[in-house]
Amino acid sequence: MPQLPPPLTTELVDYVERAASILVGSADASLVPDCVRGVGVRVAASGARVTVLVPTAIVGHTLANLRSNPRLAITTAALPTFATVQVKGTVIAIRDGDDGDRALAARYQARFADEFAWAGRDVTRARRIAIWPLTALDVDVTAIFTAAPDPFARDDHPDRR
Amino acid sequence: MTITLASIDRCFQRTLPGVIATCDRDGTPNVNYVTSIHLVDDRHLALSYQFSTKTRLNLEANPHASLEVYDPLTLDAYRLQLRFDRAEDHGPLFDMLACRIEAISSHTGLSELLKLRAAYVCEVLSIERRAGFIEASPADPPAVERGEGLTELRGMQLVSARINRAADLDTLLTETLAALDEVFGFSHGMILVPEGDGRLVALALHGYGDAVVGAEVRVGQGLIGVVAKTRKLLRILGIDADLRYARAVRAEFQQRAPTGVTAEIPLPGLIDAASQMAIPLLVQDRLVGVLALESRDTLMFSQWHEAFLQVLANQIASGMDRLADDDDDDDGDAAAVAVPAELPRRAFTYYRNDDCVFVDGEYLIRNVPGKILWKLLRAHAADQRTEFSNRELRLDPSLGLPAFKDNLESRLILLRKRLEQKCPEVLLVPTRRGRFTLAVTCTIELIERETA
Repeated sequence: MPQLPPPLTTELVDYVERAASILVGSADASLVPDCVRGVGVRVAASGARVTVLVPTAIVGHTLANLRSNPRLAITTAALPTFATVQVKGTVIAIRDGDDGDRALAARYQARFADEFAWAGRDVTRARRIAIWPLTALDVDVTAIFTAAPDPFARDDHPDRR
Repeated sequence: MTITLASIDRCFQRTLPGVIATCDRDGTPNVNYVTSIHLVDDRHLALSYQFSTKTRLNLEANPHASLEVYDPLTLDAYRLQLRFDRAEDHGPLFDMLACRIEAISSHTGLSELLKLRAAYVCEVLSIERRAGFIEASPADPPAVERGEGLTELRGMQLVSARINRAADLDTLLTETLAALDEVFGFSHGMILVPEGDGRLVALALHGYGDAVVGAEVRVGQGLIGVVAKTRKLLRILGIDADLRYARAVRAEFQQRAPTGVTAEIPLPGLIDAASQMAIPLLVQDRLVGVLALESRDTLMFSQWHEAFLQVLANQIASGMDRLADDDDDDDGDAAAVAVPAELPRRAFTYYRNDDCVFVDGEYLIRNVPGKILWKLLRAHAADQRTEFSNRELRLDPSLGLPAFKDNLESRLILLRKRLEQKCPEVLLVPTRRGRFTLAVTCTIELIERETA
């Protein structure tokens, strides 16, 4: 899986911000991880900082982990290609979501439902994944990994992510 | 209420990918999808590892993992805390997961490239429902639960009775498929039999409209072929999602290193199936057929179906074996029936190199059934014979039937159905046990060639 240095390129910014699936990974100081789904990503103009939105109702374990370990992983994907972009970094700020975040999450919710429909699934419930209230996590990007479905990855590639 | 793995079984039926987070020894988390999760027992899960991933490396360095899975009907999310236990690269669990991957990879032309490397077995430390992931609404239709238990037992009794009543192989196969639809709602099914040359041929189909009897699958290809090869039941839910993923992998392979990628193999059945199940029909260790069921409903087949369908499969296999040797010891005189004049003309061409028969230039049948047809047509042309017996076919060394378990009855059914579809002027009509008539209502021209 290719590793790229920050910042995110224009092409990657576009892919990340339009993702229909957002995964957020964290871990506490004793290396016990947690994962949760995000509902929006915004990339700063510099391409070196991202904000990921997580519904407040489900962000509890992530926040607990961040108190002892600020590192975060964010994976974004689109179903038709199964390609993923994983951004790793350090959380520098945690705040409540605002109206702009809510609008971003609403657009994500629609894309999430569209991908459900593309996959032939019933979208009734997909249209109601929780998107409010939100917690916004600002992350300084330290590494970027891109991957297609990757049958070529080998054990001798130590930088694979 | 304590949530058990069994109570969230639907989450592991491959219809929606799960999410797994791991962490390296430096404290950097990693998060990714996991598509294949298998319940090992009430405390363990197995994750399939096809490609090298950071997830695998992290698990080996730090056994803690967090998994989020989703109920495909309600979209409820569940958070599972895991501890990596062991990697298995052989044994029954590995073989079962490998079969599932092989069924997909062989279908999509990736047999040599997309393989299971290991099953990663993890202990489940805790399970909790992720409250608040989805907003509840009173307008939600209730999740449909499938009735299990006594309903299926009663249904099994009914299907079993029909299997038992069947007087010939054709009736056994067609009645079984019809009963599986009537009783259990398995609306698309087929039974295939091995031809002995690495192929399976569909002998009976249900729910496919005008689908052609005689459709073929090579052993080892796709779900049915893999079941024939491994002789193990396979149930794949969300096969549409699996195929989408495999095709994405295939596209990636073709772009980066096209060698090793072969053409996607068209297989008989629904083009938009969402779930499939195939069960080997075995008599002792001998494969007598494969029962294949499929549905556009992602969740059509449950683990419970595996149990009772395997019982029925045993009965079907025994019935097939019993009816396969349907001979009549009465060597009654073969009657000669004159063919009326002024009939339509059908030209049959036999190719000796592959025992293939065409009628009016269109493929009809090949191999042993082709040889049988040619023998019957020549006998008819020579002395107007119309009455034949299974026994005389078995005694004819030129047909190349094996001395034991020759599958003759299956081959005659296939030939009969192909003639009904492609040349209704020449029919095989069963008369009594082990005997049949060649009913001809056309003038026949016979052409014999070495090769096409």
